Amino acid sequence: MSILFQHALDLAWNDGRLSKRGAILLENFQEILELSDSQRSVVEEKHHLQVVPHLIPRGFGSGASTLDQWMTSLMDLDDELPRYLVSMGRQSLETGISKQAWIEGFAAAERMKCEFEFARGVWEPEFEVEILLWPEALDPVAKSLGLLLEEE
Amino acid sequence: MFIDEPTEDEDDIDPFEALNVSTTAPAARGASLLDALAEDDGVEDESSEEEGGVIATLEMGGMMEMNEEIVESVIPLDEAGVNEEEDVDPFEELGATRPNVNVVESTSTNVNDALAAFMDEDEYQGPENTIVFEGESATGDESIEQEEVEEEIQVETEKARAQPEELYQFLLEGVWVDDVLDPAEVALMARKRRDLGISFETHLKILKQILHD
Repeated sequence: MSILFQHALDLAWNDGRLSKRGAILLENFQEILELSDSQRSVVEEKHHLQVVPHLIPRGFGSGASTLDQWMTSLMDLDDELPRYLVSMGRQSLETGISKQAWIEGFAAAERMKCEFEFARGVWEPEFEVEILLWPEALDPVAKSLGLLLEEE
Repeated sequence: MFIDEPTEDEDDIDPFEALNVSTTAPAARGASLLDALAEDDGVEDESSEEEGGVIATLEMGGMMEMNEEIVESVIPLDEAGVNEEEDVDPFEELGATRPNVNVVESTSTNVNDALAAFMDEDEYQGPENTIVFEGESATGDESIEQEEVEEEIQVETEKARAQPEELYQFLLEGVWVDDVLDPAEVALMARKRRDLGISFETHLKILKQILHD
């Protein structure tokens, strides 16, 4: 399951409703991540079953703006993204990375085309890694790697 | 019929006579010896004893003649083919040189020659008439054999290459047993990659296999 698309769904539905703009942004993000319809459906079905029923409608889909900002900041990382992911990989190893965390982190890095760098941070101890504080846009990845508590 | 008496019937073969064994009773032979010791006893007895000896000698002569006839009636060994000198020589039969046992140095050579004769006979020359189909060359068998050998070499090479990967996969599976990866385990796996000559890309491939299985 793509933790990035999961996070995008959370943002789009954050006031309990999904706007048209939010839906279009989700479509765009699916294309950016190169997710197939079946892969997206798996993530979306789970979200609809486990998250949406517990949401209290508080607006009219204002989450679309939040989603747009997050996507923009993620795209802006561009050349910096590999460095952050290597660093996050190394930090997760030092704290102890679980199998599930590795699978999710690697899948997210794969979607961002930085899986090799992330894997080097985890599996190559000789590879010198600069420890960086990751940007907020990578919080979903940090959470899945256990670097950030859910409450934070 | 007494045994010592000669018989007129020559066909009746006495085994004792055939074997030239004395048939005189031991008691009788002892008595004759005692008589010889008692020569001084009387002249009259000597004449009678001489007559008895002549009779005995005549009897024995008769027996000897008969023995010769009996022996001749048995099939001679020469004719029966038992003679060792006339045994079939395998070297002559095969047309090979008989090894000279007196010359030690040449023995091995001669033996080799004899073996070579066998080798030459046993050497497979291939089928005399081979059917060659259209589009098939006569040397097709050789090329097929060569392809088979190449395939075997390729399989062996792949097997040798697969063994380190299998070992590495086994170790990698062990790393995830406690569900948490720590720096010591990662350092161990990095060392194993170096030892087994496994690239980082191969490591990722194996890792994906393990996690998706």
